[in-house]
Amino acid sequence: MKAERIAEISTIVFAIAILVFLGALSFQYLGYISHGSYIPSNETAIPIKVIAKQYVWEFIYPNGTVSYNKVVIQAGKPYVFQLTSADVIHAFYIVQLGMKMQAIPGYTYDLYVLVNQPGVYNIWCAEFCGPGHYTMKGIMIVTNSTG
Amino acid sequence: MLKPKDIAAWIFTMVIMALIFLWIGDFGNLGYLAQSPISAYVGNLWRLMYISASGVFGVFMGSLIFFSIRFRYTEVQEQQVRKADVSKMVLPLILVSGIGLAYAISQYFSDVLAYQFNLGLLVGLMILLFSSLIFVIYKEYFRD
Repeated sequence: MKAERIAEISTIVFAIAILVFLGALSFQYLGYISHGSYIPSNETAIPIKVIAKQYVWEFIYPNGTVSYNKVVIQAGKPYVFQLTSADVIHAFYIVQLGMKMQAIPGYTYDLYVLVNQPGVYNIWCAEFCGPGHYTMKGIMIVTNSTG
Repeated sequence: MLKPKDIAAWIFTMVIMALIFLWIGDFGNLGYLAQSPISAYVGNLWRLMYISASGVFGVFMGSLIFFSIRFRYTEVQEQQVRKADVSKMVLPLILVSGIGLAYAISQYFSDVLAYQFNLGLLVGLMILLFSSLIFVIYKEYFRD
């Protein structure tokens, strides 16, 4: 077999191997994130309902408290954002986590979140939802677990 | 046909391009991510993808640059490597230096102030030096 042919085949095989590896790893990681597999089994995720509306994020805590465009959680504790939409399709994007999930009317999706670093994180709508889409911003405040 | 030196240059170009790609993207590190399992997953995937992409970028961009330069179009075929004709510069430089030295020595033994003469002499020496440089350049680069 000629050297050119070997180089051509090895290029194809190498590209396929990399893509399969990345695909498998992405699938595995997505499963961890979607099902919260990374959360220790002795801990239960605290549910927070997230309702996306034009152009506001509504957060409902387990005790019934409602807040808009701001959610406060504790560092090191697992939470599950139960995400839905009241009108059109939105996307819940927490920038500093590098994670987003769509909010679709009539459906509820779970987004498990565990943040170890206190701070203020940005929440953006990452799906064009109307003329005021760019104003649909919120913050996630992560407080120290002892505070 | 590629010689071993060409292949070495090709590989070197590809490696450099891959390194530039990695450097621009901070070697696949997303500094803004928070400490969280989710961001760790995302960061790992991004880093792996970016490093893999740097290989692809290096191969394609390195090859593009290397082959563009190696097989570029030239009007004139391979020319023989010629040495610069340094001897053409040596004689005028010795001449100019010698006259300059003789002039400097004469200043210690002469009380005559001859400003115009000195200026004319210096300008003449500069013209001589300049013309010798032009001569060498012409002979080197405008040869048939």
